[in-house]
Amino acid sequence: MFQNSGLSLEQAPPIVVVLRFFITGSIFGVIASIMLFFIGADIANFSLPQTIALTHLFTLGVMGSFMFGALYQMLPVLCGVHIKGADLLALRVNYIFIFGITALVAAFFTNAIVLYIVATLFLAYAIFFTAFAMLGQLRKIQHNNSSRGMMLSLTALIVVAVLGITLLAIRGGLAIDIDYLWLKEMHYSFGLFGWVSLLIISVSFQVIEMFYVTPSFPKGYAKNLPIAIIALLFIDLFFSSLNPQIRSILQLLVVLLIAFHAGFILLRLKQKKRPVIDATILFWILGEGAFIAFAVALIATFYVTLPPLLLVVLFSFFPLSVIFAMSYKIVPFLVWFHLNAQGYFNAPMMHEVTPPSYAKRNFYIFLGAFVTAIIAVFLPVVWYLSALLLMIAFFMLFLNNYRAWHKYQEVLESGEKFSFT
Amino acid sequence: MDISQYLIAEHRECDVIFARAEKAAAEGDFTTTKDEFLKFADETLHHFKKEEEEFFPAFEAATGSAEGPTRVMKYEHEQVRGLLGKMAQAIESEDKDAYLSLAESLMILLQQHNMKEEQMLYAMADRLFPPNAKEELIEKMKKVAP
Repeated sequence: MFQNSGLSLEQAPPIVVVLRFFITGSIFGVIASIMLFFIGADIANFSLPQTIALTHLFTLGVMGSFMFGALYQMLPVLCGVHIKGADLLALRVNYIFIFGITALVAAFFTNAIVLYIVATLFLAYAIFFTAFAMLGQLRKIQHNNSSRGMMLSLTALIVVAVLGITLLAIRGGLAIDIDYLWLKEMHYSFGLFGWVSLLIISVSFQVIEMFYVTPSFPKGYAKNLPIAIIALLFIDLFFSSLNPQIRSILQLLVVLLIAFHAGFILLRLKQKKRPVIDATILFWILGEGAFIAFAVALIATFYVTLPPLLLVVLFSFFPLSVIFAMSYKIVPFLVWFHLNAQGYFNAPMMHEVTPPSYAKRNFYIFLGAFVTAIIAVFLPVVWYLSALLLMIAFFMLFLNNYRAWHKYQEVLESGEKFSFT
Repeated sequence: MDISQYLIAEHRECDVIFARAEKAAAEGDFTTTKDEFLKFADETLHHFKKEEEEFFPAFEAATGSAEGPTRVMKYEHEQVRGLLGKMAQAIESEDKDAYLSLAESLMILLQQHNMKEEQMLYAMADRLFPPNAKEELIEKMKKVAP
């Protein structure tokens, strides 16, 4: 039955839930960028503990935090899912998640078994608890384009976590007869193409149309694309160990599907009815463009030798860019919406919460980080500059989100409220 | 004709007029902004009136509930009405930034509202009403005065 009352105040989660995760994510972004600064050229060596730690700071710390925050907000709005006690649940998960990531990063650096165990317990709790709670609710609803993809993305996240825990157990000394490298590849594959990409795809089905007023994505396409991607990933998981040659074909297919959708998003943005080009559109264009470049580079590796780090850089800026795009749209809107819905006369308008010029400045710094990261693949000394720019970009995101939170509190404490009595 | 077809067409029409007003405001042309905005506000409010006077009561009667989705939709209509008033003030004072900022909030609010109506409410109504009742309801909505 109809549950989709989304943005009505009683259904929307408290603003603090979203902001807490977004602020956490941007702080992890600053920390990860500082780490990148110190790792510098060594980033090309993927087996170094610091590189693995950095990868997890970006994936779990940044992407994971933003994903949790966005899902708590979007499940009620886009899918009609109501998560009971979202504020308390989110608070608990937020702290446990932060602690788990910190323990994991420390474990990679020290190789201490106790830290691996602590990280496993905390991260498993945060991820499984949230994913299963959300999946449990998602199972009950009548699906739309976004909700189906979100379900599959959360399923992929569970697979990523199970594979990750197995990898940690092996690192911690557990003897299992399993190909470690294959397991690691599956962990990456489900993480990047399953969890991260599927989430972006499913979110895009609704928000591109909603935020920029574009034609909608065809229904059959939106329904089947996430299913096709997850199906290919599972075929890869279950059958590629039998025939390793299938691997590259399956992965290429997955990448082509995601790249096709990236192109589709760019087309839709070109067809948008609204004339204004704000920073969030630029972030979407950069992110989707980065994925298309990643796909092209991947195909090129069949013919020429390219540094693997180039592929990593191109892929990484895809979700990171989308995170900025979503954050700069969602946060100012939520501040206005929550205050307005509570009857405050002086609820700040979106542009007062975060002036468009701030977001645009942030985009150019982020673009600088992207361009310099590509140059750094070939000229490693530039990593320092790229890391610095990325750190500034995340710090600006943090400041703007924090300012938004501060503005919200300010109105809450001193604002004039319309009385309903 | 399905109810969704009829009402969704109105949503799309409003989007196009809204975009014209926003474009004019972005260019600082407040004469065109005013003309287009007035058209947009008229169309939007007329659409709300059709829903509130004909569609929602019919939907509530068919589902037996006036406390469910229609209540939320009506509440969101009120939020939109409030924003329209503020946008009109911004046009009067030719405050471009205020207009564009309010337009941003309005668009997100309206789009998510439309999505809920289109994906859930209208779709349910299409399934709920027999063909002749749908035609009758559409005819009634067409007769609602602006």
